Amino acid sequence: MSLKSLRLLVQHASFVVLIYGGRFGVRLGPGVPCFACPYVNGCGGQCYLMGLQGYIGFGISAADFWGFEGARALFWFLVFVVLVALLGKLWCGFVCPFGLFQDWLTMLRRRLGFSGLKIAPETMAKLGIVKYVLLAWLVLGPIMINLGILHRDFYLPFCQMFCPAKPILPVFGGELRHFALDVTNLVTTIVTSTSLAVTGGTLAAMFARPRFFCVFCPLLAMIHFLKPVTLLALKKEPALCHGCGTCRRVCFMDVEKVWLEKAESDVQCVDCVNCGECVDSCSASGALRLTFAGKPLAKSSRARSLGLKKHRGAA
Amino acid sequence: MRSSAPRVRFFSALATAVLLTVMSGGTGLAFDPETEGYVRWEFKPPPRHKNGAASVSLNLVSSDGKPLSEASWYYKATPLASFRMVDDSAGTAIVRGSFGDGDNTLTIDSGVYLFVELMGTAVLDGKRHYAQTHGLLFGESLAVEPPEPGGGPEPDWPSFAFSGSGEIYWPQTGHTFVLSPKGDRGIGEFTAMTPTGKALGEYVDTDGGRGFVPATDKELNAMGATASKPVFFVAGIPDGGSVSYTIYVHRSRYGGEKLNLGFVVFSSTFVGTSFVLILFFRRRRVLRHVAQES
Repeated sequence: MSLKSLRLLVQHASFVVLIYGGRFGVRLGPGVPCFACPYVNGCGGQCYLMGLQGYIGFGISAADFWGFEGARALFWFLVFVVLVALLGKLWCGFVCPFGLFQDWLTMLRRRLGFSGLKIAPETMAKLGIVKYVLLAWLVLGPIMINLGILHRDFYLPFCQMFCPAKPILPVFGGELRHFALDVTNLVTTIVTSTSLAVTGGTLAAMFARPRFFCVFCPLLAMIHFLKPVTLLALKKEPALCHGCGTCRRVCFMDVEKVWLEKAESDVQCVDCVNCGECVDSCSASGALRLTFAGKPLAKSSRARSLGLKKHRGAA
Repeated sequence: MRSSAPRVRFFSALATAVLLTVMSGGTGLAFDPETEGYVRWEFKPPPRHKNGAASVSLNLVSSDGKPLSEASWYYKATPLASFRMVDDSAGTAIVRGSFGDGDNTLTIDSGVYLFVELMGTAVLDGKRHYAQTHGLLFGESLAVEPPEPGGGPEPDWPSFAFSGSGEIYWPQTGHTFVLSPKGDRGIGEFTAMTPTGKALGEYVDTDGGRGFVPATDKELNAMGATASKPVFFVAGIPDGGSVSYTIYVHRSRYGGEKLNLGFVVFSSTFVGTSFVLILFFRRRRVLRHVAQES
């Protein structure tokens, strides 16, 4: 089985568990390192970003931090770290329900025969800064609310304003409510109109460019910060690389490092979501490896790449 | 010649009786909480615990600021397994006590999820009044023992059965709150009050009894989702006293949501971005074509 097929299988299974799991008693808690949106009715787990902004993170006042609330925040942070340490960016490539939603849009576009949008490396580098800005906003926003600098209606400032998953994913739970403009007061009007504008624009861009939102995802940045403790890694053997550039061409995140790296074996960069497309496509046997604690889970091979081409040809 | 005076007296007495009946809502009880004092529970900022326990602090006070005497209370505590489900493995506890002179403050601590129905009574101006409320405590601590089940029978005080059209832990403006008198204690129809006067809203008749829908409050709307204001439902009882029920209403969570407007904002940005992307693709195709030609 190619990594691509395995990925699709795992992605769909994860989607069912994270979006509908709560209806069957699955409760994974607020430490899940992917966009398992808590706004979905009956979800099976909650995205760590929401908890981090709210009741298990920066939403706690400083006075409450040194006690039960702080201990709970620390517990869920440790759960998050352990989950990231175990699976790393597989959470993005294989598990994230919003990642799968973006993949569905890409599949639809290809079916309709539209060509996709590639982002130039220099543009990618500039756009990538946005994810750190959003990360800063989701950390500082709740602190500013606690200090009385921001109005309380900015509560969960990233989810409420900038996360396109918040209106979109609840639709799969049968709820359209998050597409409403909340005119209760000026702040709610600003917050919800920003959210809907971001969602509208992002949806169009996600159709044109695979995994467009992942370029801006603050969770991707957070997971990358934990790279030193992550057991999963993408490795390259530069000596075995032909330099054909297939890895660059198949990468939907437009990562160039895997192709360009000529000395280091570590090619895991911030925008890589560990989808495994490069490992599947590389014809240089052993040049690319997806490893867990140093042991290879999958590695590139001529046979694998040919099998993939055969499979694609048949399709 | 027969005098018409007895007939006039009879009709004036009848008219007075009808008027009184109408004024008292058909029960024969005329209690005006705007002019007469009543007793109510008021919530105070609760103490905060570092061990995960949750607390609620309440004051039993009179609406007109006059002192209360012979004040006592009891509460029924029902442990919950989650936000909505009663924990069947733990029994309901009745806890009772009385206030000393002066401070009528009651603080309830809980280390578990607990639904508390609280009753208080006191004498005001020589008449016994009753006050009622409920609250949810989401404690998560081993430091506070869960309430001991039992505690004897529930005192038979005049009280209301309360229900709301929304989630009981988050009462909101726009919800319908229905209060039906428990038992046959001759409780009159309630009037919804705020600390400063009559509450704005609409009285409705429902299958469960008389209900009240608090009106939208602009001040609450501007204050944030967690802000709340008290509403006291007050009714007279036969011996001249009253019974009140306190709830704290938040602003309507969904009342300000306009789905059609939201779709307009969403669709316009979707269409706008799509248009920009199409222009971008066309430009790129033209440039590629020009490059091939040259």
